[in-house]
Amino acid sequence: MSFLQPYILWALPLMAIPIIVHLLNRMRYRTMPWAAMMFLRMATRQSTRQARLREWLILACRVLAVAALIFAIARPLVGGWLGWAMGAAPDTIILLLDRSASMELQDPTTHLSKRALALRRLAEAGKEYVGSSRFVLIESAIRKPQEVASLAALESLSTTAPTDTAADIPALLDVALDYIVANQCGRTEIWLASDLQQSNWQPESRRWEAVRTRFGSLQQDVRVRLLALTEVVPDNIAVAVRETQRRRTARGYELAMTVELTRNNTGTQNLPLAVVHEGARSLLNVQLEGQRQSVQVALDLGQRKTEGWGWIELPADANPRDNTAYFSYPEDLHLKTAVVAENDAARRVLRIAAAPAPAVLNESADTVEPGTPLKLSDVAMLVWQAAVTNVVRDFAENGGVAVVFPSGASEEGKFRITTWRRTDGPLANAKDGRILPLAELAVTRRAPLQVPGTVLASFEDGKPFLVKQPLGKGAIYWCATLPVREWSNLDDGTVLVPMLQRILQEGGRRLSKADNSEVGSVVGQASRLSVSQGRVSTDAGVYQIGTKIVAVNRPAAEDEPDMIDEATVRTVFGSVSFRMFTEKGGATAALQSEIWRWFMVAMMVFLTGEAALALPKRAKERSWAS
Amino acid sequence: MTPQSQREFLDPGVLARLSRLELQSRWPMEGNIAGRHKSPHRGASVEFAEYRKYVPGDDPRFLDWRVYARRDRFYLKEFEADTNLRCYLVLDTSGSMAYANKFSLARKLAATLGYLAMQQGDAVGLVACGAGITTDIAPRRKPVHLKNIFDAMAAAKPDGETGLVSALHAVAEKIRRRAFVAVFSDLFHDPDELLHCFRHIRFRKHDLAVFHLLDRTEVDFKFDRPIRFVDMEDQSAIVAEPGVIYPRYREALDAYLDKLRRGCAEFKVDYRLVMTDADYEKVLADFLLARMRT
Repeated sequence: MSFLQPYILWALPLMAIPIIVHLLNRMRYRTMPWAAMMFLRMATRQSTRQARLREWLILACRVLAVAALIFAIARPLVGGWLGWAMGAAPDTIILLLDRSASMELQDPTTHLSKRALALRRLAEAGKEYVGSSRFVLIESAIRKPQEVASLAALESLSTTAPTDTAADIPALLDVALDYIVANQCGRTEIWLASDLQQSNWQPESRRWEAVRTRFGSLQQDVRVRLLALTEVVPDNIAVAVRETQRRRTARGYELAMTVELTRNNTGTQNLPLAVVHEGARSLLNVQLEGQRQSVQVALDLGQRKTEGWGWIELPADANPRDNTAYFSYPEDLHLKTAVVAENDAARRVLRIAAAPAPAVLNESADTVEPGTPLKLSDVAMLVWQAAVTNVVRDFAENGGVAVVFPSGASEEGKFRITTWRRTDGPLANAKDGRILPLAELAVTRRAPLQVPGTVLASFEDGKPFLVKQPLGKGAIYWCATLPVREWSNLDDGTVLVPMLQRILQEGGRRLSKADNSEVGSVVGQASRLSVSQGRVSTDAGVYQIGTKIVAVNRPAAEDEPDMIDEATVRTVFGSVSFRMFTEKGGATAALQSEIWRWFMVAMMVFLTGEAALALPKRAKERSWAS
Repeated sequence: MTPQSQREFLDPGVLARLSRLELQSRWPMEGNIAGRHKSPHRGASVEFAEYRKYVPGDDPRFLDWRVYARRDRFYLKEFEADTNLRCYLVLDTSGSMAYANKFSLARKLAATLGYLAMQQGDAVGLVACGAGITTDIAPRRKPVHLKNIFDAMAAAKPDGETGLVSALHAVAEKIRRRAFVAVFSDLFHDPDELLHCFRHIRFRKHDLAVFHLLDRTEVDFKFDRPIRFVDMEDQSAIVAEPGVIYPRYREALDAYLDKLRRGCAEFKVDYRLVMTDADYEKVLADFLLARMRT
């Protein structure tokens, strides 16, 4: 509980007044000669627990009535954020602000975003400590500690402005802990304001263990106060462009886009979708059913061969930051593959898989004997089946993508692939949801893969089938078997062709003048091409970075509506001194007034109870006439 | 009778109005002379009692010759005897009687009743008892005897602990012939012991009337602040919050009064609860009229 006027609480000793009056009243007796002492003795002897209990109850009612009055005047706030800390002021207060796109969800009545509300609450709470505590702001987009001189200006700081970023709460706490350790802060409080979005908190992440351990190892008294802005607004829809692909058609080119719409209700709804391309706006009506829906949008590019960009817009709703999704598409690029293989059969299969329809897809694959000098500057993908040399590593470090097949030691047996990554990457499910038939692959010979990287598929015994090793600006994919009959039936193409084609698309980005990315993953000098102002590190938009056009969007996880509950928050904080305040957007004023009214009601109840208890019992009707 | 004590206890107007009423006993009395009260013995009044067979030695004057003429047997015709009564006024002088005007009212009631009894030819005596019997004046019929009684009443001061129960037992034993005993007290004693001595008096065939004197404050017990109550008999003290103990006090008082009433009804004691703010003339008038009706 917190109080708007905590100094009124100094009047709490007044609660003792009824007790003092009671004692004085007992002492202020007068002496009286009395004849009927026999009844008096019987009455005092029979003054049982019930009478004493009644007396104590009356006294308690009086004390509680006074206490309720004092609390009511002190304007208590239960569950509120303001002035909750009644103890001594901490040396340092670190304000951790979740500045993710989901924090821009506005309250339908006050039109105040969660971020703005959080800033207001933080500023109001901090007023109590101005002059006695130091304020340090760390926000989720840049995560750089910044000392705040005036809390009144908190809302006008550029570092508290809205962003299209995602928040990483464990990382935010890590930065705060770094600051505490580096600056040797004394008693510190961390005030964290967040909407508890699951993707931001990552409650399953092992980093929480490290956070808890660091909290435990601190010598300072550090407490965490969480302002949870968990208001759910039902009529918000988010749009995102998940995939773009330039295709050849009979008339020229078209851009095929997969647009994803996410919302937090399930009714049927017609939605006008605006597609803006090269300054031209076209409308597309979409019927929404369910919480998440993918829409295929085909944009006719005519004979245009050059790269381009645009965006997709939704009508205004509760969160303005998730109503626009930017896209860019590459020029009509010829994707070249260089196939270097020792095994003749493998070389032939790999060449066909790398360019199954050269005329239609505008791609080609050239085979090269191992040891032959290579010119790789215009190659999108390098397929390598030989002893790995620096050629492969250099290619990857310069941004290329290489696929390496085994050429050395191997083991024989019957191996089945049971697990693989289906959400993204070269083995992901098709757009229509169909699964790549990896389970049907029969591998009779495999090579051990002992490279660091992400395992994308693995055999039944846990050994890897495909590993992605990021290297420099590019990556190397390591495959454990060969597409030849002695090794496996990979040569039938059902897995190999889509896998290589996806890797080829990935490699083609290096050569393309257009790219799609997420806010936070692109750094450096950039000029914005789309209409509104903003920075590439924090704001979505289309940017010119060097010679490339990059469509930067908010991270996909920001559209996820899932939030963690209080129990999960308590779990992730564990033994850390932690307190959570739930703020329902725009309801603070009502909360404030309501709570002191409750105390007034309590006072009246106590006074009524006291009056009822103090009333003497009605004596039995009796005639005393002689 | 000194003019002083007479003025103190008797009101001529009250006496004049009450003189039209008689003090009648509810049971046959044994007196020395003829009077207004029934006697257990046969006498010479005009009220026929019964026929009895003649036995040698009987006075032949009382033979009923008409019965002899019809039956040829001797029968005596007997009549009721009327006698006077001996009235014992028992006045409680314990310390508790000093509360409010209880003692004053008790003396007025006793004096008036004694005067009325004397006026109708009955003998009147006084027993005053505090811790023990302090005054014991035997009943006499002579009007001048009232002076001694009134003087003794005037001299009595309410003080000390009560010895009413032992005094009443002593009175019961002392009076050998049937008499009328009137007790004036606040009866602040164990009701079982009180009822035991009432039973004792009634067992000796005495007519017992009890004037139970209580003050209104003792009944209502309305006080607004804690009070240190000091016992008027033994000076012990209790500090109590009247508002808190009132229900228990009333409960105890009611139980006590109920027990007394029931006991008095059982032993045929003429019990009168008199509040000190009551008009004593009305109290006595009601008392006398009720007796005349029985």
